[in-house]
Amino acid sequence: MTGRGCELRMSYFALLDLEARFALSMDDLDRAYRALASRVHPDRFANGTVAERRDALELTTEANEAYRTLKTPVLRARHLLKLRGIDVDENREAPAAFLSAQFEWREKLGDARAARDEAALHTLDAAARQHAGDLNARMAAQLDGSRDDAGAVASVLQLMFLEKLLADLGDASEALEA
Amino acid sequence: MALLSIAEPGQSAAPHQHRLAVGIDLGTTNSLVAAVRDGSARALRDEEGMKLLPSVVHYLPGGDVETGFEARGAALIDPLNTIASVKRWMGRRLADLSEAHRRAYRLLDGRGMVAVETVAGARSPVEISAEILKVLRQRAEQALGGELVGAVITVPAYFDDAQRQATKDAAQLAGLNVLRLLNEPTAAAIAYGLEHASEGIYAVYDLGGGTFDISILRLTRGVFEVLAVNGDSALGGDDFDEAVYEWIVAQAHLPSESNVLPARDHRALMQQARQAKECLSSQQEAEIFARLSGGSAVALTLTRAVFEELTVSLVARTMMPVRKALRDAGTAITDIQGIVLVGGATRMPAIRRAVAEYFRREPLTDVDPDEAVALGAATQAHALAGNRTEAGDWLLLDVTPLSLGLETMGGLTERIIARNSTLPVARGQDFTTFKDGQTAMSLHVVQGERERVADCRSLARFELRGIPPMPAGGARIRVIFQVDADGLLSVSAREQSTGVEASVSVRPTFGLDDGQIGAMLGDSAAHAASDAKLRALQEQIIEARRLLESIESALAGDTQSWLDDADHARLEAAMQALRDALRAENADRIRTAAAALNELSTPFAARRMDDAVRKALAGRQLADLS
Repeated sequence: MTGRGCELRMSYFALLDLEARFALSMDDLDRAYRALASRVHPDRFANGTVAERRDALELTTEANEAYRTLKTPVLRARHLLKLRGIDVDENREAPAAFLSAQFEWREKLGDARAARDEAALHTLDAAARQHAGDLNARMAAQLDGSRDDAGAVASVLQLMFLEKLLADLGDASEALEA
Repeated sequence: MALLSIAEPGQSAAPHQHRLAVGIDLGTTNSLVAAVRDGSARALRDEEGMKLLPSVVHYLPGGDVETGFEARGAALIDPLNTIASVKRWMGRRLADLSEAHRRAYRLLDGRGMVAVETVAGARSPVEISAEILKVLRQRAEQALGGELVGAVITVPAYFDDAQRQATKDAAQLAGLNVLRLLNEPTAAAIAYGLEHASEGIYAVYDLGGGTFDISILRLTRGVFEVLAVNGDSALGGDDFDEAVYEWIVAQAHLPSESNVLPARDHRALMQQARQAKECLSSQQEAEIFARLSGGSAVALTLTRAVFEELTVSLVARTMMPVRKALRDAGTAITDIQGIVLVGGATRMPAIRRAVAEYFRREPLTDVDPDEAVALGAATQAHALAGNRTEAGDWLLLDVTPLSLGLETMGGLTERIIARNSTLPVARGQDFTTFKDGQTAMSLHVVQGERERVADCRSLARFELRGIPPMPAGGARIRVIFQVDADGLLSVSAREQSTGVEASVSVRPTFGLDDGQIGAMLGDSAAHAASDAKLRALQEQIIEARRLLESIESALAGDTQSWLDDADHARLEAAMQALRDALRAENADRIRTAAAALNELSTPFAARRMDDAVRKALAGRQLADLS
């Protein structure tokens, strides 16, 4: 097992033996993860030595983190950017146009929640999902095609906002159902 | 790749040598033990040919212990020394328990967990559960003809860390080597999935005697991947019995206040209630008859319609966790391939109807709801012990049921590991010091979904000491949470510049000798006090003093940039109220005053933090910021 110091630079793509690209087939990812987990899972070493069991725990932990990271578009993009030396958290300036769009989304969510308007929540949810889908496509082009890393950072930030919004929309719908 | 160059799976046993391992379903009402024999999992019977062992323990004067049917028979004659449904007490404090439980026994606050006073002395839930496990272990060793390599013990998926740890301790006390704690719905899914070679997304709806779990799993070519779990660890078939009991008491005009009805009459009526409930799963009417100790008799008829009216809210209560689990799994109802029902309580027609209505399809009923969990556990135990499995290589990927986090300023929870993370999982977060020259940091580990620490379950407290004195915000303390494949947590903290470390395996102290279970590492002073009330008061006092101290030191500094005079006066008044409460040593007053001060000071803490960060950055040389 490599030392802890290497963690940050470790490529989850390499760990799962996948090409380091944003566009990624979920089937390939599932297969690669299951193949790795099947080999290193602690259950495979229930009778192993202490050292084997510790390694199994660490490797499976790592494999789970890799799977979670690569499965989620925002985390996958952030990881890819980090491998290229760009930390999204240090580039948190969203474009002004998107800031005002954020206010609009938030306002609509607030209105729908206040009015207990389930239909409006659904409409908003569909619109946010549509927008997230567009952003994913744009991000794939920026990261894999034109190599526009700065543009990709902006897309990631917008997508992070949308995910938070979708979570809040989910909470609002759940609160109405309850 | 170097990372993968570790040894092939350590199946040290010779291929022909069968290593004996069992699966145990330690249930609220009944328990079972099962093992794989001749390639298939089967429940093991006792000498009388019975598979189910009632989870009841009877303590006799002189130290003898009865379990199972014998003990259940004693419930009417010797109710206070006959313990049923002990699973509901695992890892729980007295304050966590329902009124019905508290009135049925002589309960007291034991060390870290409730205990029950019996003729044989005080007994903890861990010890009582161990009695049940011992019987199952003997049964298995007799049936299999040899010593066990180990056992897989099942727990409700929604059990928290304290409940899991208590279960593991009970198994160890019974002389069992725990190969794994396995979630009950996952065990049932293994039993079902391997038998039917199923693929796709399944829901397991598990309503046991005392717990409710819902799990969403994806089955793909030998991989059982839990996508999400949810549930209610204090809802089960017992609650349906209690609803009927309450109805009987009302219909028969018996006194409803607790402790008025003799314990024996209470038990007799509870038994009638349970029988009526079970009868109504197949019949439209149930007769209830009991002779009370005063000589009078209770004779009533309960119809299924009335029963379903009495319990409609209990059925509804299971649906909220179902919704949440589906949402966490990112799964729509239409994605669900099948719903597996587990637990005796799912025999109730009202439950089946509600499940069918919600999922818009009939649930699968071709697994025995009583046995599926034990059979799945046996299959897993067989594989973990290093035996060849008939079904080939399969793998189980489970999740953590509840979020894990740390307490931060203002009594809020900072989530470190989100619920439904695949196990094992480790995650770290950096924290920093709040005061100039601060050399110690106290860490409070909590589990739960609520924002406020007070609403979550407290798992452990420990301290990181020996941080070198630095300006506030200067130290970089990385806290790492690791949850292993059993779902058990360990936490470590490390100051990055000096390497000072502290760690804790989260093991709440239970009513056993220190030698029998590992004591908590680090600072466990909070657990030293024997009296729980006193301990609660002490914790309140410590918290209150800590709060006062942090605000006092904040106010002692330059306050202009973040606090105006009116707010300053309001803070002072709230602080004075807390000081007065502390002087009076009144736990309730301290709690109220501390909460008020907390509420008032939280926004200022954030403002001051911003201010401190700005100052710290302004004072530094560029080179330091690299």
